[in-house]
Amino acid sequence: MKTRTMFARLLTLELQTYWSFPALELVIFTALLSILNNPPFFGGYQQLNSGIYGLGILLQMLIIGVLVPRSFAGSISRRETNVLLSYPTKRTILLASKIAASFLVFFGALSLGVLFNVYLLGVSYFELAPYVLIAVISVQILFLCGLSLFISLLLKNEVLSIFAFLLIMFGLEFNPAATSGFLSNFTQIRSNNVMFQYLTTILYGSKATVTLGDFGIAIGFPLLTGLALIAASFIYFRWVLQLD
Amino acid sequence: MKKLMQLGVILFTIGLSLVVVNLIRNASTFPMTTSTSVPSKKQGSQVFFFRPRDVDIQISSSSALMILIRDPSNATILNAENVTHAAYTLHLEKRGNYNISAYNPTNSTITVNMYLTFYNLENDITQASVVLIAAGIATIIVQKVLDTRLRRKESSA
Repeated sequence: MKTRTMFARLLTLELQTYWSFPALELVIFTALLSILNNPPFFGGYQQLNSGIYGLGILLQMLIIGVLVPRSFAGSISRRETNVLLSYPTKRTILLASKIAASFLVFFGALSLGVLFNVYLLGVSYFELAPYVLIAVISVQILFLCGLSLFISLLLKNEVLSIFAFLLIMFGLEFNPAATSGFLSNFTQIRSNNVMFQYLTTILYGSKATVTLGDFGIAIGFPLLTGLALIAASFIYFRWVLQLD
Repeated sequence: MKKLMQLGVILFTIGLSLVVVNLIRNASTFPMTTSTSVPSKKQGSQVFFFRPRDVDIQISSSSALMILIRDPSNATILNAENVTHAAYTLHLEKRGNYNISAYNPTNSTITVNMYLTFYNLENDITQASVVLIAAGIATIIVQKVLDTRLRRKESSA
């Protein structure tokens, strides 16, 4: 079987097994709530991330932290990965399909929320700001999914992975040293705002309120860490992980 | 779950999520306050982004003035003259930028204070959620009916 066909079949299987009712519905509910929860007094593209900046990112962290380990650690502990690997399936393709499925579900649901918000804030669908925000959210999903995936593969236990992920994320977000100043750029709550503000400032040609250095950290940390964790997960799953 | 059923459940979920979102967004009736000075024989105007809700507007000024509120399609929804202290209740039909203008006919600069208290849910979100929930339930029912017919056909064959 060709690699592309195998990937497509595994992706479909993954979506049907782990991202169907009620997981998908829960993701949609959380995504809409996380983006639309906080109506600002003013309209306009500047307010597009007003919901995410507060409660939104916490909801996203919670839902990713709970549902992603279900697909990775859960499938290992329930021996479903062993069954799949008993067929002529490559480990790398199996992992890639799982990552793609998780990313697609969160990306789709959160994009739906942003597109709803575009209407609610009276912003045009032809403006660039909503798509900038979707790109910013994608970087954050990549980081959160990457971290959750790596922890799940290391621990191979669904419940432990959820706890470990949430502990790390809450440690990162609510570290007293990171509430303001340089370190705050590493938090997901602030990095969303910094990325969105900087990119829209450049696109709309208004005066910059965010420095290039802050933007570099805000985008570099989640993007590079997310990619590194996914790469490490591939290496670990392909060559190190022992499945009975 | 069959595809039609899945679509129905997703539509229902989006509708239900919008109901919850609508309740959370509009739980607070925190008033919005605005204050502006209007020079003699001049008009001052401010533009606000309003959501389609009901609003109580309280106006107080140091002397009589003329107040005009226009909706996003530029239609006048409030036109009041000789206003010093007044309260109005408006039903905002549309989402968008509302223009509030005050004309000062007197010979001195006057200060106008406005207190806007919004209440009730946003109409358009409520309508969208009702449509989505109804569409979701209808799709689920269609799938159930199709399943029952298929089962009957199979049992009779």
